[in-house]
Amino acid sequence: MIRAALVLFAGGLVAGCFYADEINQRPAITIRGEPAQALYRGDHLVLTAQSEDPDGHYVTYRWRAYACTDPTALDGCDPVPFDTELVETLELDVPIVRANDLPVASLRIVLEATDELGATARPSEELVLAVVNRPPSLVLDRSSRYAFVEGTPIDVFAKVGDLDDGPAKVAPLTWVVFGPAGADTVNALVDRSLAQDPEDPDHLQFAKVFTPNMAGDWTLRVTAMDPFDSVSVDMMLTVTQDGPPCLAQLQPIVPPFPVALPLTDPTLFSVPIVIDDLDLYPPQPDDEILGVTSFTWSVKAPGQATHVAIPGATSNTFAFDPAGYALGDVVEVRVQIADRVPEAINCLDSEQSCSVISQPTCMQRQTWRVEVR
Amino acid sequence: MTTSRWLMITAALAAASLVGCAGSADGANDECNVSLLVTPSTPIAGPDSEVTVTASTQSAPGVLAFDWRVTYMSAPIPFDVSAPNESEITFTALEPGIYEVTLDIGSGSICPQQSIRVNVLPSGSTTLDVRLHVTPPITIDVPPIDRRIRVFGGTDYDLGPVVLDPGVRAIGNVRTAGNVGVPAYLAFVPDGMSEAVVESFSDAAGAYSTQLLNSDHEVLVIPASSLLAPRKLPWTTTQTTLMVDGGTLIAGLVRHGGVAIAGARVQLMIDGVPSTLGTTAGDGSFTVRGVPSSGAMVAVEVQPPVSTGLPRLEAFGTFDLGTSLAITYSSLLTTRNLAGTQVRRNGSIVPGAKVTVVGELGAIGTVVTGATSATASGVTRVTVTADAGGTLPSLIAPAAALSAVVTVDAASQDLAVAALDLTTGVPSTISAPSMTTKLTTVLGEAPLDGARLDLVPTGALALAGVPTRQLTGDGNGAVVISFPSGSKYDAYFSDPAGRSGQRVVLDLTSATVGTSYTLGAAVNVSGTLRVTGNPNRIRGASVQILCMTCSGLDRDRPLAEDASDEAGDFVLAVPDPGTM
Repeated sequence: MIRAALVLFAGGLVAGCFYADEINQRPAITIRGEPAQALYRGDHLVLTAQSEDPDGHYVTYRWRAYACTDPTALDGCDPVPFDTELVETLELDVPIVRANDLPVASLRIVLEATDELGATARPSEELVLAVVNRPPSLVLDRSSRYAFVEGTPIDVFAKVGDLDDGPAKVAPLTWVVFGPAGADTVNALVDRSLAQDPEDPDHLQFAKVFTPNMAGDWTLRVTAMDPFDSVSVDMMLTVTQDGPPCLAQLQPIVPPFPVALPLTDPTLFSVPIVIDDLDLYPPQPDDEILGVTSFTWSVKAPGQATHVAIPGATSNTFAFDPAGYALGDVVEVRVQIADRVPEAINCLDSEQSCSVISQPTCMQRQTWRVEVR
Repeated sequence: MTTSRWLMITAALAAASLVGCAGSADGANDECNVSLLVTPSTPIAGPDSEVTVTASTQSAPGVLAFDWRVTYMSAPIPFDVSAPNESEITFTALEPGIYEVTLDIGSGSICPQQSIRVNVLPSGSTTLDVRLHVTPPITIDVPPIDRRIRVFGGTDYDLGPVVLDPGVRAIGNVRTAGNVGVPAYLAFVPDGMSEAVVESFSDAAGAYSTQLLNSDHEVLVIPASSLLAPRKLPWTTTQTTLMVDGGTLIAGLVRHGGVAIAGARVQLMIDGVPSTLGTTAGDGSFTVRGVPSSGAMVAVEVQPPVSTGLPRLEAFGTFDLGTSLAITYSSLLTTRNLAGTQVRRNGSIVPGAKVTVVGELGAIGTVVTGATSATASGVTRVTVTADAGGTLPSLIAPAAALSAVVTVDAASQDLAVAALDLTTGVPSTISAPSMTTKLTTVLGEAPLDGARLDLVPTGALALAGVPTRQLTGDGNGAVVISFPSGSKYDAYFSDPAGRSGQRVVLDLTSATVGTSYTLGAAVNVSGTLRVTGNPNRIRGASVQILCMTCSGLDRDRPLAEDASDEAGDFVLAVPDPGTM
């Protein structure tokens, strides 16, 4: 019986009277774009399906993405995919937690493909991607009205965020101070209140007042810790000593030595502007730390060997009346400035100008040679 | 092609070209430009005070979206959109002060945010005209300005942008007709801004270089050489030479009665321009160089040698400088010598006391040229130091009613002013009483901690060259003032914190000083410095408010001063002129 059937089948082929369609083959698929490194929760993931259909048929795709803690365990993944797409390119945001609120530790991505005749790729392509915790983001900043001078407060700001855990889970921050030898690192930081930015709910801001007790290089290390990870950021601060004040503007014009400025009328010698870290002129109101420059004025009249200080002349101006001298007299009017740090101006009395830091652009003494006319 | 079709195509091409221009961000002319117009320009506060702000745009293509904000003291206030396309708003200015209007425009291109500050005045505001003097920092080479501004009573006022002219570089030479360079002092005074003086010096070769406003100036040139006459010359921006010469030799004779005075220094001021300095010879004759002009007001100054005891002489007149000046001290003016006079305080001698004899004398002589005669006045100022026994060495002074300013201890400013009448003789002692200490309190709405008091000496102290004293109040505004006996001061009370305006009390003495002084309210005058063509802010410029009507040193004493900040902004607290 069987033998007879085979004979009949073979006969049919030979005779060409038996017809059958070409057999449709399944498409082959691969997933492209697998990230080289572990994903962070909240990352944006892009994967592309690539297929090869031996018959040249059009292929459609079906993606399913499952949030998992351990894809090898029985309940390691959510039973329902969090994302299902019928596209060639899958774009998704890595979820933060599974349906059971456990933090996502991996993703299971399943790609299926079907050609236009219904042939489905076998097996389906599957990808398991590790997902790790995203550490908090932390940015530090600082500002000071006081030129970062020792003993003055510096406002330090920390802005923290955590894309997967939320900023609230990161606080409180840990602050550690490292200072130069002899520095008081224990009492250098004090809390400061700071309003949150209502337009930026993804971040929290914190502030401290940092008051370094001495000059030198300081480091502030701030650590932000979420439930799984932490990040530390160092901020270097170079704290300086109070520099000397600098004469920035003088009136009237200072003549080039040995030229004398001819004066016919009472004249107000003036220092309208002094630049300094803390003791400037004009003084800044409403500041308990900023002070004002100290001025001393002296005069060297004809016949005097050195300049003689004018008692009571302590403001930024000095009224000079040439009528107090003889016509033709050459008189020297001198101003010297100081800030809160006592620093002797050790230049010779004969030197018309002087800089205690040997910096021509930062003078603490200036002298007008005046010819009474 | 018909003419109409040709025109249509041409028009279409032109339109396309225009569209292309408007959309381009490269051309400076194509940048979106927004301006705001306020009506009325200076509103008066009140419930019926409606302020309209209208936006005008250029090169802003597409349908524009206007996003307006109005704030008063940093708080938003309501407004109505009063134009169908939202380009105009109206708000009610209930209170006086500065309202800030900000506009963001959304369009096809990026339009810069615009904001304008609207000064709303109180009803019945009194005004005060003052000078705004700005001296830019030396880091930017821009000339100073000195312009008149108006302060309104009862409200802060924003000047808006205060724009400085970068000016022009004035490079040139001071020289003689023989092309010899002349070192000289130069004072450039711009036309229409006489207080914005720029000083400079020309070097040994006569070369100068300085930055000046781009306008005509008048320049005072005072050569270093006594062979060349100082001059006031016109200067234009294209001018590179300032010519000087010997001027006119002006001669004269100085005598005391009929006796020639040798060694006296003589100088003339001719319409504000000094002559060279001359010194009298043994026969009293002198010459100076100047530039006389017909009808010019001439000030004559003579400084006789100290040994004569004669005062410094001053006379004013329209002298004919083509003829010799006859300068004569009155023969009636005699002198006395205080040698041997002792300085005492409360009966005790004052060793090493410094004594300055001062006095102003009227009609001490005459100055005559031809038919012109002027009476001369005089000022005496002679200083000596007493010996260890408090006894004065030789000190010759006019026999007149004078004053003695005694410095008992310079370091502690222990002074005394004593009447010194030399009319009939020389006193055996000069009494220098102890200082009198007074306490006064500087008040604003409350005691002003850190208040400042500048005591500017007047009378004998001023003649003696005693400098201004600066005192600072304590935390309760209390100031301790030590008055030398017989002293007078002009007192300038101020508040560095800007809470109150300056107050000036003239002729303050120990007898008249009050237990407290209340400073009036202050209003803030603010603004922002800019330089034409320079996008950078001007930090560290000196910004001063100065008196418009004052004279002398008071014209240079600031009512308020500030330094511009990083943004070029400044705020000056000036006395509130008040409201009616």
